[in-house]
Amino acid sequence: MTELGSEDMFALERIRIIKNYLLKENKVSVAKLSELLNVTEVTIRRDLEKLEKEGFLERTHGGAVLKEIKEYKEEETIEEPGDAFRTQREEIAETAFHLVSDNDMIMLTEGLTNVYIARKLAQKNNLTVLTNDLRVALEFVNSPANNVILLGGDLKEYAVYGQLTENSMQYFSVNHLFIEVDAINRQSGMMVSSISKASLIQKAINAAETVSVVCLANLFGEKSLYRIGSVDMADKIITDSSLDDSFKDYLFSLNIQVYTSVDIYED
Amino acid sequence: MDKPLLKLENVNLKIDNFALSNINLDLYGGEIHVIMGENRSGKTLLMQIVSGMLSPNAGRFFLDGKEMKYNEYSSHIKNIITYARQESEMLTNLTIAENLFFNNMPYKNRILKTIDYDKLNYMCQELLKELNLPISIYDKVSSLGLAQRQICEFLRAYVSKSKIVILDEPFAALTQGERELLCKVVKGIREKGVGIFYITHSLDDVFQLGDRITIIKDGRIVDTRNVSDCTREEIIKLMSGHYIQTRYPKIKVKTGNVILSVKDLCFEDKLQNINFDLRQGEILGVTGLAGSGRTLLAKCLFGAVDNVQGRIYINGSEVKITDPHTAISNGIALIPEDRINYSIFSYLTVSDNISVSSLKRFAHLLKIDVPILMHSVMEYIKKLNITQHPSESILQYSSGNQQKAVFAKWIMSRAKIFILDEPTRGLDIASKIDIYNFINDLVKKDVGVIFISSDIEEILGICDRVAVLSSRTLACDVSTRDITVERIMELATREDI
Repeated sequence: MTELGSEDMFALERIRIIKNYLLKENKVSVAKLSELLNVTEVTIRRDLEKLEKEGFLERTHGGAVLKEIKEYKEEETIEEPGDAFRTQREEIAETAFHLVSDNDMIMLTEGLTNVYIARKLAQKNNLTVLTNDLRVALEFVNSPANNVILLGGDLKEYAVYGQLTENSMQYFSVNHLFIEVDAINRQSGMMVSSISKASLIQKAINAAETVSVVCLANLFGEKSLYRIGSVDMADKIITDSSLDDSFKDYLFSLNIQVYTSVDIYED
Repeated sequence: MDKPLLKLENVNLKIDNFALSNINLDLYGGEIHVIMGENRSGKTLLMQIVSGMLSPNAGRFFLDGKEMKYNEYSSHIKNIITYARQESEMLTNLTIAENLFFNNMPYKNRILKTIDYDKLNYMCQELLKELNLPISIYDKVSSLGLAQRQICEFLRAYVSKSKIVILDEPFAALTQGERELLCKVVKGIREKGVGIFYITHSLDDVFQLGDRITIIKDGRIVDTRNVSDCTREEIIKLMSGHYIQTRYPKIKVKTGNVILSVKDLCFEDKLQNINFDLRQGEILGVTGLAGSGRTLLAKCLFGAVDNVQGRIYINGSEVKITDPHTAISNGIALIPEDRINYSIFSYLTVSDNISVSSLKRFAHLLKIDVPILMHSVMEYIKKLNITQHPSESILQYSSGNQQKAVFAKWIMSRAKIFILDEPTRGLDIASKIDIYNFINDLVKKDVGVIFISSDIEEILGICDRVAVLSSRTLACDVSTRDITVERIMELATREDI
């Protein structure tokens, strides 16, 4: 009985430490806490569970975040409500981040995953970012270390297209182009849902040194309306870890680098 | 001389992930036909077909100009061929004389089969005199060094009545004197009118011995030429062929502090003065020919062999790595080349194989918390794209899934230094790509990786730096941007300085 008592005492102390830590840092990982408090991860997980019930924090993969902060953050950013692929897009953004160097001249075409990439790239220095997506441009608002060039043209939802956009693209040549496509399959190659988008991407590919194609794994083998071109126009394909094995085989045989953006540590 | 002793036409063979395609090869009496190619280019498989041990899927076979089916070819050739392999096949407790004449012993009495030792020893003595070899015929084979055994192996081919001899990769580390002896024996065999296939990695051997050379790469014959018409550079060029380095996914990571530093590492007479640093987030490629000590170096760093000389620093402080346990507790992980024997626990399930190095993390009140452990294991199985039957024995999995489970084991234990010995060898393409992506994520998490591979293309595609093991030491340690396949080949095939 006495032992149990002391264990509870420790538990209270631990919870106080965890709360303080979270208030300061907003988020924490199980591994970090386990190291900090010198108890096993199992114990930490139980503590976090307790705190979650209290409504103090929300458990995430591998850790926890302070509840208020999380809600606040979600309000601030432009995201489609209930995006089921948030984690995948974040992982893809993480990979893209490691393919771009400071001082690069890059272009991001319209797409939600590219918005995530932009958010991550805002941490870089002295990038020049060319884009036709307003949301991409907005991600750099608080990042004065980077230059953003927003193309002009006819606005369709969040992005500009048309003759005006394509004409003004002639002035630029980029090191690294990130195009987000709506489907990739073996017969038709890369596809998107509108003809103006297909046309813009074709022009952009011609003016880029390196072409990275961004596409969620579940869109492989799917179809869309307009064809951009064959898959081997891509130098790199950045997708998530659920990519079907047969596509890995196929893309490797085309000499394309396949990034599955896996985050290998468990949560 | 006008008719080849043997000829192979359009031979094809497919095994697992490897194929020999459209092989055309011939051999004349009295010639030394050198076969050259990287490790796993298909040399040994080809020689197994030639010697009648392995039946191909298709092809035409000629012996002395006569075409025959493979069955017939196989039974004929077995009587006229000697295949001297790298691993010695001698009876170590018998004398050299007994070993050399094992297949044609002189008998005093043919019925009782009593051996005529006087005659045997005389024959052997004559042979050694003929070739002027400084070996005693009375020595037991067990007392010989590797080089001397190699010479005896070749002598066996010399005394045999074979018309065709295959000499497979003569031992790499020979002294100049031993090398000359070996050459003498090989030339002696040729003078008897025997046709010789000589498999080697050494360019010096090619020019000293070869009459013709065939270069094989990825299961295809690149070219067959007369040695007198070739230069060194041409051969290196033919061997490197067309390389593709663009298909390997590689990310840019800012490297951190030196995580592992190796100073003056030596092991027996096999590794000398190995020095290198490895930083957080860095991938160091190590390559070299078979037998250059790549695997041995990995074992030295992991404490899997005894009496390693030199100093090893981890995060700046010296550590004595005397056994694998010390290595693991210092955050070093080894993924060995031989997966079945040294890497997986073949009688355990996949989930046990994954969790075996991390059980401490899941201990709660002296017990392992199985539900949480299983939860974590399942997460790895999902993330690393391992086929999902965690409670089945790992042996029932494909090699790709086995290797990914081995990765999961070390990832779960949060190792900080990964030593990967041929991590993608023999795997399907999809698993290879998975593993390249795991490595990318590891370096993002500040892990340092030593990537050992004989696939130079892969090394240049994946690694930040490359070190070439040659003549028992690191012949170079440079950025992969500053080196070519040709240069690596040249360094790897270089003889003693």
